[in-house]
Amino acid sequence: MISASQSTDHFQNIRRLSYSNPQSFSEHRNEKQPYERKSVTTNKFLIPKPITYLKETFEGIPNLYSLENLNVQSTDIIDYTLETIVKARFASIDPKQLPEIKRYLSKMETLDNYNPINLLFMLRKTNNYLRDTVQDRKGIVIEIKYFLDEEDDNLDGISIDIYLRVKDAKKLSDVWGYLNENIGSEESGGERIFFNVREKM
Amino acid sequence: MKPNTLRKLSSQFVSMSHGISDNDLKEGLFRASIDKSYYYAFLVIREAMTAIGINITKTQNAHSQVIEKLKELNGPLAVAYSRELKSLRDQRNDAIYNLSKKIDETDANTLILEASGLLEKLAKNKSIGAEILNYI
Repeated sequence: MISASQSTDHFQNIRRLSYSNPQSFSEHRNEKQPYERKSVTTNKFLIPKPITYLKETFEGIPNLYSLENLNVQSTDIIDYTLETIVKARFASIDPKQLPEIKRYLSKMETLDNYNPINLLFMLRKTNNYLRDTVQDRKGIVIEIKYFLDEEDDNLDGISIDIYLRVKDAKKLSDVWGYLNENIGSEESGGERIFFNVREKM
Repeated sequence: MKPNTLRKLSSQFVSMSHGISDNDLKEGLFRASIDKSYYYAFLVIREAMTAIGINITKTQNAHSQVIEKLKELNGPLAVAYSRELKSLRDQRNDAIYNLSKKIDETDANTLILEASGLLEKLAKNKSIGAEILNYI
């Protein structure tokens, strides 16, 4: 297998993806000269500012606590979550997929006591990670999809499909590994939601 | 046959594509490579689970069973193992069934690295790592 250091030697121009986490990249970036920092920060990025009223760090929200506080029905929570995700442009959802995604989130809520609003936090964290690590941020596309296996009907879930303008398989698999390991895997039911990371053609 | 034959096959399919000019045939090889990469990961994990006493069905539901059982392994990455194998399965299904989706060499190479990466992480797991090493 190619090591991260070997890979970095060959792909200096997209080396941000080699950082193990956003913090290490940020630390490195802060060491750079001002003109270099400018070139990083002035790139336009399609993902808008984070939603201001969601200030918590992502650790998963206990189901009952949040639902009581928000004082809405669970179906409203799912609609609210998905609508906010799309409005904030954290991810796109094909309208044809909406009924299945809503049905599945409802199933997760029932089976796993999963709070659907966690999906919103998860996507915000994903956007922040990609914004800090991917150089060509204009090319980022994120889609939420319902996954149903064609052969094993016990296998279903929600995939977050990320498309990057990166042709290097090592970089893509590094992002894939980071996201599946670090984002959204702590809260109950979160394992039903997983990441695919592909090259954007 | 040992599961790691599938790993070799997945790489071989990508190499074979370099000597072919027919684009459909090339894409077919990339799709076949992705299929083998998933099955390499799945079969290594299934064999290792069976070796440590986890009973896996021989029916088509073995895939969901293995993915579910991964979550029950000890260690902080257990859930990540499960999500990653599920992602490999999803990508394999796209390669096999979704004919309208374009699949290229980067996709095939990414799956090879993702499958190997998952197994390398599992090889460090206290519950199943020793058995994983027997098959990779």
